[in-house]
Amino acid sequence: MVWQILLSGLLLGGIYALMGLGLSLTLGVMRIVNLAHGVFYALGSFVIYSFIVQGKVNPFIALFLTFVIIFFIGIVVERILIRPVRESEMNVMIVTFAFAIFAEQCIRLGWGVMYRSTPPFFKGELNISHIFLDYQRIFAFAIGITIIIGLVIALKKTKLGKATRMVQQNYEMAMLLGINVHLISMLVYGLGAAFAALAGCLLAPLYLIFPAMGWTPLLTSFAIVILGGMGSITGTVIGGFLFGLTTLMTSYYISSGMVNVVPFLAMVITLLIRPGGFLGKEIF
Amino acid sequence: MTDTQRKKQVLSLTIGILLLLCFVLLMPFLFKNRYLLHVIILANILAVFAMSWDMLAGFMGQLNLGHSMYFGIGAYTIGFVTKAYPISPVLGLIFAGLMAVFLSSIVGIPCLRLRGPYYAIATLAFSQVLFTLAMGLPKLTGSEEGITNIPKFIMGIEGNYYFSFLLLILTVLSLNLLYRSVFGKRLISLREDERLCEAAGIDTNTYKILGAALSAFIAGIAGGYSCYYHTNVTPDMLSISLTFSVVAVVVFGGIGTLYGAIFGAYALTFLNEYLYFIVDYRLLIYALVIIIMLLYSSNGLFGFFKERYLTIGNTASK
Repeated sequence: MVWQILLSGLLLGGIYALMGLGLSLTLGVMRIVNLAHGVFYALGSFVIYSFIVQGKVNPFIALFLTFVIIFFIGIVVERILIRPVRESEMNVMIVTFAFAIFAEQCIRLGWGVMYRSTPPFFKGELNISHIFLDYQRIFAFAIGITIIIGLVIALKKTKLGKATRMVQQNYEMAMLLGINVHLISMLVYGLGAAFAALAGCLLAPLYLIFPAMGWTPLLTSFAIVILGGMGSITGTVIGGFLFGLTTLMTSYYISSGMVNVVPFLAMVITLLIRPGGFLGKEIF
Repeated sequence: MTDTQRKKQVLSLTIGILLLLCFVLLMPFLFKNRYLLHVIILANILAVFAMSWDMLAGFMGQLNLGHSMYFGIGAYTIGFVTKAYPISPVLGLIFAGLMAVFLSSIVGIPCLRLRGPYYAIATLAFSQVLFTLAMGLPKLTGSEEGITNIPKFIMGIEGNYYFSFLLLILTVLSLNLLYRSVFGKRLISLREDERLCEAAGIDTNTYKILGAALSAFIAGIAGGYSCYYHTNVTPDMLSISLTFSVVAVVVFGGIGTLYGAIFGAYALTFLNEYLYFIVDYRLLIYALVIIIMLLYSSNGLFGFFKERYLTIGNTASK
């Protein structure tokens, strides 16, 4: 049973890492606190639900379409809501909080309040000497890891990636050097939202989906980012895996209702011992 | 502005306040409308609660996104205590406030000493934890049903009406005194520049923790009274939507203006109770209100009103 939990936790950790990375990008590059991260997760789940169950679209095409749709929603949100208030940290938090509630209510009105489930992309499970792993989880893990590696390579090698890292290091200087910081902010925010949505899509078949589902992933992502250190990709990925493990252990050994408590405890303990996170630098 | 002009304005303002007070006192006799009184009581509770949030966010610059937990813990405290043994209501309210203070120090001590978004995130997380606990421990908290049949401490709606106004006026007076005192000025200076405060020799951590405790105390009392008034407690009193309503109230009324919270609370409560068909869209409308207010007018309703009609004080010196 221990191996079962460890492996499942590892697989879940891949998705958590993806989710945390989305938040880490907006926090690290744009220096804003994005409280709407969780609602993009929920939107992702609901959009893919509509595509697969109501639209009968092939799951993989649906995955891609959802990614693109949420990416563009993210871009619009950055342009309309966040850019005008970006000067004030508190206003950004209030606006993204308001957008989170707004989108949650839109989901409630559009899809209704009942709990739904999405059919898995793959049926069946892998059996390695009595350790059962759903193909769905393995697929989700593979997608998550691929995207993380892709992002890291893009940040290191491409010109746009280098510009993004420049913006992360020094916003004003990047602006002075002629980097289009607004474009990069929009892309980064869109990408952050799309990562959350992708995590929502990949986990949709494993859990029930409902309008208020976004808050737990939001807090989990924050806990991951704080644990790993703000702005550190390695830290975020490690934090994601740690969280995958702890979540599964909590729900197995204590109670699945207590999953909400774990992020909070982890956050408080990290803040008490090492406020900057384990691998990060203080950016605020 | 000359001195006589200023005196005139102060006089007219005083008369205005006195007239308003008379109107408030005579209200139950003028209108025999019990529903109206009920709505006013709700607005008063919300206003007190919103002012406590505004104290943290608007005056001290510390965003709290889980403020409903102080309200909720106050309400649950009253629920538990009155079930165990009969306690004097005033003592009960103070005890509710103290429990909220206790809660605020649990979250505040680790998180308030850090700059940045940590406090906002931690409060949001902790209120979710409490909400989960309230839903997940049916034996203790009655889950979704909550705790019901709490004895009323003031019979009749008129009594409650006056008490809620008493609470509101006490809060306004004490916050007014606070903001004029040295202690309050130091709290406000935290919002302006924390590093500068530190350099000026203000122990920012202690001030932040004490300020948050005071804010929690007020919120706890509001929650406790709300519990007495409704005679029940539900997990809704701990929910994100309550926090969000308070944010909407304050942002609509004017963040950091003290009286703005009262304006906002009345506006949104009346909107809520009299346009009952919008109940489903309530939070949607709040969200839109917040977004529009932040994008186009950061001073809110009260700021707008103040600029137009209440230009007493240092406008002359500007």
